Amino acid sequence: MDSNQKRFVEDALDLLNELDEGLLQLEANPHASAPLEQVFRTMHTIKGGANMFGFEHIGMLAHHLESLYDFIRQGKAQVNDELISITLKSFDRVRDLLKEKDATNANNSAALSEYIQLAIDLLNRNEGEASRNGTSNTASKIKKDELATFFIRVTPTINITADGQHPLVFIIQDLEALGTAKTFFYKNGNDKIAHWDIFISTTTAQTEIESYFIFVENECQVSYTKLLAFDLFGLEEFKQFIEQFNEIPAKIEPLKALVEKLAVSCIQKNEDDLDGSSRTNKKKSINDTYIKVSKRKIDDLLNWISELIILQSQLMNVSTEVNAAELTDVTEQMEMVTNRLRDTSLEIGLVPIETLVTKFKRLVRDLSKTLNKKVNFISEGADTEMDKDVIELMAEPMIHIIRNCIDHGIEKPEDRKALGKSEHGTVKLTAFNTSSFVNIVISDDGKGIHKENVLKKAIEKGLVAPDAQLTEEEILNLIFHPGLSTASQISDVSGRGVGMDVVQQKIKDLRGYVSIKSIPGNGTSIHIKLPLSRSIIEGLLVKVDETRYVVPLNMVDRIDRIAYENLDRGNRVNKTVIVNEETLSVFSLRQKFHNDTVAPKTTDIISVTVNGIKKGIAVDRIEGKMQTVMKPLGEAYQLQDFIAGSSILGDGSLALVLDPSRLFLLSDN
Amino acid sequence: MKKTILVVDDFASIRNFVCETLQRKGYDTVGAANGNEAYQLLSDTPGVDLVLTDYNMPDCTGFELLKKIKANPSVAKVPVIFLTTEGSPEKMRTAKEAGLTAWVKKPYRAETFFAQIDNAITNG
Amino acid sequence: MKNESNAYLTFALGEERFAIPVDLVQEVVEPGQVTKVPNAPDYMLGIINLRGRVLPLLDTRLKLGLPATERTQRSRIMVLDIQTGDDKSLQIGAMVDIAREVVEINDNEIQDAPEFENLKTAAPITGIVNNHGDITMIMDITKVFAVNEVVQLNTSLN
Repeated sequence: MDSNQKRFVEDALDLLNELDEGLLQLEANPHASAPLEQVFRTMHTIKGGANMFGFEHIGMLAHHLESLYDFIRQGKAQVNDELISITLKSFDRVRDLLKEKDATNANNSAALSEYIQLAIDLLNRNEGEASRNGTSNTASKIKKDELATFFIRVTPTINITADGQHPLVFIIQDLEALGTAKTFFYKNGNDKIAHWDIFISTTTAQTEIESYFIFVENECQVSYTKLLAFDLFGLEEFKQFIEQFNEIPAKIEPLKALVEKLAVSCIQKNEDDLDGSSRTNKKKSINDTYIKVSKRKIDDLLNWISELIILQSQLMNVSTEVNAAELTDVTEQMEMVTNRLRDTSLEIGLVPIETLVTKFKRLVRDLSKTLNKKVNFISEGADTEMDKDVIELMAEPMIHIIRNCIDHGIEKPEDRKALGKSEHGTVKLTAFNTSSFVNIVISDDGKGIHKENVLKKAIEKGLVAPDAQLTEEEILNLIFHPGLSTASQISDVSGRGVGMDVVQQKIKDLRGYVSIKSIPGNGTSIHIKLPLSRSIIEGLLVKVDETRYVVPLNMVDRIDRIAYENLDRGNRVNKTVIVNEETLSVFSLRQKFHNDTVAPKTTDIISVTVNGIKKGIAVDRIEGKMQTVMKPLGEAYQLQDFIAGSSILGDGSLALVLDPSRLFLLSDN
Repeated sequence: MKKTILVVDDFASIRNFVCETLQRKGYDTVGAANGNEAYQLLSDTPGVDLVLTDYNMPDCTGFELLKKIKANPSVAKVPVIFLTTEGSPEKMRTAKEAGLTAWVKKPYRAETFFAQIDNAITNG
Repeated sequence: MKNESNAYLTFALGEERFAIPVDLVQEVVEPGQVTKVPNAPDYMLGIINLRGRVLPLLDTRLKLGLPATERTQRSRIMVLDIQTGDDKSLQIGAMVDIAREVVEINDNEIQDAPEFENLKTAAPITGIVNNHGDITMIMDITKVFAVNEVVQLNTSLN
């Protein structure tokens, strides 16, 4: 965080208190205008500051909530409990985020998404009501206009050079930033601008584009031509045409002819794009313009950004050593930019899992026909985004799971009827984000897994000792064992149990987790949890003996320092320790891995939540928080899977990135 | 000679940020937290070359400030620029008609921002 | 093993001298900081940072059943690129006592490997070069560090 951001945080925290007061007053007097105005204005101020200092998600949240209160100001909606409580809760969350040591965490896309969504939902509902009530639809200003391509010609009426400082030059640059744009300019004999020709495809409405020129209308004339309600930049023919546009001195007629020709094919294309995809996708394609970029370029970009992050941390080290105010300033700003670049670049590679869903729909339809079963497929959260590579890698395993659902899970229609179930079975795919994970749950309402059969088979095959006492979970996990299938008959569809082991392996390779739940008669659900980013993580840098480890920050709950002897009492390696008046099962890295050197006087306990259970990792010392690029250790160390990878520190040395869940598996065994 | 800009924003961190940015560019700055305060300052302080103001502020908004300035012949010549997240074309049009020189939307691009300020000071 | 260039890198493990085809060697570097990965077999010394690449570092002597390499001024890391599949390869650093030089050895200089009594190791030797009693053994290093073997050993430890 730079010093401006720090100051903003302080001011914003004050404003949040004012906002709370205003909201409480408004709740008590829902029709009073003074508290309403105060609430509106305070939110507006927070929005402005947040956008200015790089807290875009806070800005976005404030923007949507502000729009809601604007509705009320205009008499198109009423203050109600829901609105007040959503607003209070949202800004409580903002306050928590701003109070964190590094308030820029508020820019993690997940940090506020829940509240932003709540606000949008409420806004959509209000908008719906407003239009039903016949009031003019003022909400349209928050609804983006549809994507369109414009041709704009700007003719200055004063003398301007292209490299000059006239605002018009910059206004045109600002305009270009509204979408995909290509600009040509033409000079007079005396090096002055004759006119600019701008092609732009954007979701910005024409009235808004026009507003860019309101304050320079004495200095230029502007003509607008809306070519088509479509992103023409997506069409090769159009791109080629405008490449040559300035060679045929800027004739508009051939352009119009081309656009008319293209219009026909575009409309067709548009319909194809929308066919079969859900509403969210439609909404997205309207709000956004897309360009196609080769995967290789993106990979290159991500690699360079990884290098940049490493260099950034080296720079940070140097800057701390040199300790010169100017260098520190630049370094801090660099860090902010690097972080932003990282976040943006991570999102580049993310695509909605929509494509998979379409594939699955088809699979379910075809399979249920083959097997004479009646199956509905429903999906939730298909707009959840994932790394494109991961989606591709996960397609096969997920298809396998869905096959199993239909083949082994869902009963035949007559059986279902006899059981009092609907003839139609349901396979459901739910996707959602939690902190830095993408979760995918595939569930069916079929007959569930017959645990006794699984166990019997496992014993038959010698996978389990006949007298073994297994928990329900352990029995269910047997289906991931190579070569175990419970289908009494081998079917064409699911084969012979080849697969679930591969499914598990693929998920593990992606540093993910899979768990299974099944209730006899009610169905089975398989929960897959995959890390959002494959290479960049935020973590606590810790030291044990001479070795540095990184604990992923998303799992860390709190940190406590206790006397080492508290840990050492009884000299057991894995035990419970009382930390902050709580009993915690602690894994001591020193006692497990570095027992041959003299222990320090104190030990830092990092509390983490693993599979819903609080545990502790004991380290010698916490050195700080860091963001780092994780490099895999490679095949040679694949068995040391409690180390997720390594990362290069600012001084060139290496730290080991821990996978806490797997670390605790080590102590359980 | 250094030009002086009056920066009006009720949000202290934005006001300070804008002032510092301008100072680095070689301008002198004066800050005010709302329209009334700004108008008072402008009337009392000779030599303000530009007013840079937020739109939404308590007590006296940027628009009210603009109208006051343009109605007072002794300061009417001072150019006014709005620096705001507000961006409705109708409001922009109304402000233009009331004598506003330029409208910079927050968050702004530094080049555009400085070009607008430079242009406003040079050409009024 | 086909070695088209006939160029070999020679190195020493204790008193014995070995040679491997130079094609397998990306470079020879001096050992720097090594980060030990816990719960791994002893011969897996840890990981190293080679100009931004993270490589596993293995102790060649320990891997061959000899006493561990003692790090001296003359210890070197041979960075090897071992083919493990059709288009997969494993990059590792192999610690040796001394990496000497690159020499040309013609096929006709290589004699069949006799049974070695003195070397208490499973080193796969494909041939020897006898230069007036100065013996260099040609080692099939891809076998020494074959990935499935590394992983298997690693497994048995766990």
